[in-house]
Amino acid sequence: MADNELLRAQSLQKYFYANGKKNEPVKAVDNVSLSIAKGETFGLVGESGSGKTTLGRLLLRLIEPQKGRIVYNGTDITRADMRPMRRKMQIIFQNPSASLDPAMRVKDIIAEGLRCGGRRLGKKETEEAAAELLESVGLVADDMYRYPGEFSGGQQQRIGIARARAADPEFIVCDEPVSALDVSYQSQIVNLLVDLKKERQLTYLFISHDLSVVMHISDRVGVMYMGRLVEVGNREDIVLRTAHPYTAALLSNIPIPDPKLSRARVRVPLDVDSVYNENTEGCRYFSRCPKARPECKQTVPELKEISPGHFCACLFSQN
Amino acid sequence: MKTHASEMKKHPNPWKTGLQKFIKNTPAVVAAVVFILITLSCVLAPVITDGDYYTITKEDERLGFTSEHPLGTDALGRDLLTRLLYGGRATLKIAFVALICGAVAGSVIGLISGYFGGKSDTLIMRLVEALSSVPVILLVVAVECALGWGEGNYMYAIALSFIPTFAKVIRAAVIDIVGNEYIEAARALGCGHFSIICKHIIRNITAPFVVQVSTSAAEALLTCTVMGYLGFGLDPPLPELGNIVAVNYKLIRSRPETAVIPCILIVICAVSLNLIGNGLRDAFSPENRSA
Repeated sequence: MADNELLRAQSLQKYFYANGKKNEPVKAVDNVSLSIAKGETFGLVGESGSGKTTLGRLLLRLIEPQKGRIVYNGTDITRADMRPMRRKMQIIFQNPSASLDPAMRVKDIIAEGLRCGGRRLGKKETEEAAAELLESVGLVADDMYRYPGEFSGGQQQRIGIARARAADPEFIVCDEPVSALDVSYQSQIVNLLVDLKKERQLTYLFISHDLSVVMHISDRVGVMYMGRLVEVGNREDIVLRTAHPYTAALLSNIPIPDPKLSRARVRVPLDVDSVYNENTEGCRYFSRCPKARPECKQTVPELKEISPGHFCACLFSQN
Repeated sequence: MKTHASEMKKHPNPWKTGLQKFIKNTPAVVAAVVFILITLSCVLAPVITDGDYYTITKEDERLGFTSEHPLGTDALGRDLLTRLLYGGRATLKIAFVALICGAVAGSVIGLISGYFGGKSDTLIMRLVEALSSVPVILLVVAVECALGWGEGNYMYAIALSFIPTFAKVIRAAVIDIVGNEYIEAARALGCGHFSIICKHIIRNITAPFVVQVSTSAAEALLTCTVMGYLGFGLDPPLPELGNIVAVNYKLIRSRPETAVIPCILIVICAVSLNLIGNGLRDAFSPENRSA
């Protein structure tokens, strides 16, 4: 693929077995391949349970993949010792209060990021570095002596970002970093992430179920449906030249804060009830797809390039 | 971001706020003072008394409360105060050493079980449940028969009886902690199991551990006295709160004070330990800890 590729995943698979191996597994991530270029923001969208978070964890090997390969910067890390890699690949979590140890002071939390990769720092150096990091995420240096419980959700997320930044990574998985926050904080955190990216030439995998946030921040977007990538492409391709019926349904359901416009547009129904009638043989979206044809029930659609850089997994892609 | 500027100067430590809460709890503080006084006088027994808990006075010299025998003499004519202090000393020592050993062993088992999970968890917890199904008395008798009669084995048996409680409580706490994203964050930062356990887990189970120790303390004391009463404890003439009651029980009609006084001491100890335990629980339990 592209020369400036930073991270590549090939046919990753992770099934979860709920009650022993006899039952049908939950196919959280099923044969997913993707490539993320240096310096880009790759947005990953999909409804709850579509495997977005699992995919993010798999890429960092916080969960071990059952099949597939992960290549980071030209080296295969699928089976490698992750310790030396941890500094380069970081993660920001969805729930800011659960992602910070309530019994630790902020400076110790950030020190954990600073010491990542075996770096040794004295007490004074740690405090200086922590102060600098806190200021870079919009907090004050004095906050390092406080406990996470004393901060608001938005502030806690800033601490989480400071911890991830402390390791000085190249690649950050942002796992729904704003979905637990108030709308007023969401834009602050998104802007902070954008600023940090410019400053440090970071690469993001931005996971969210909120299409408008993903479309705002991402260069390229991948749409997941029940463990599979159904459409990948540039932001413009996804919005203007939508190829997969599921993407079309998602886009048509973004809330529009104007009742007149909202009433005027045609919405593709997202029939939630039929989601559990999973079609195991053919297309996973078969039971909900408004354009489904008999062939869809038998054939699994592969992710095909329909125009340069625009991939779609549908037998009858729309353009 | 500057809204909390006034609060920022003080950085409250959860331990400090917990202690402040504990001090405001009057019954717990009174209980703590009473218990510390009892413990101190037991520890200082060799200084307070002449250490003579075994000399038997003659029948006609057993006069009740005298200056020589402030609490009178027991059924065999030995000085009751000296015996009580030395007995309290022995019982408290056995109860606390056993409790701490059992608590630490049980917590380590619970921590390993909860942290690693999977098949080892299932196996460990089945063994722990098997242990918890053995009554304490049977456990004490079995251990002392197998390993010999003596203070060490006695403590060992009582310690064993505390392992299940602590293993279960700590395992539950650890499972709760491991589910949090901050553990995953630590893994993403390259921390190994050892440093995650030392840095995050132990820090967060300290409060439930302290609470469980203090609530189990009264139980440990009562278990010891029951064992002493039944004669599974220390060998006579060594005094122990339990065997003092057992010996003097025969005089319950003629000189009830000899049996009642040690019972009162046991009750005071147990009640004050329970009150302290409740106070600590209220002060340090996680749901009350938010700043």
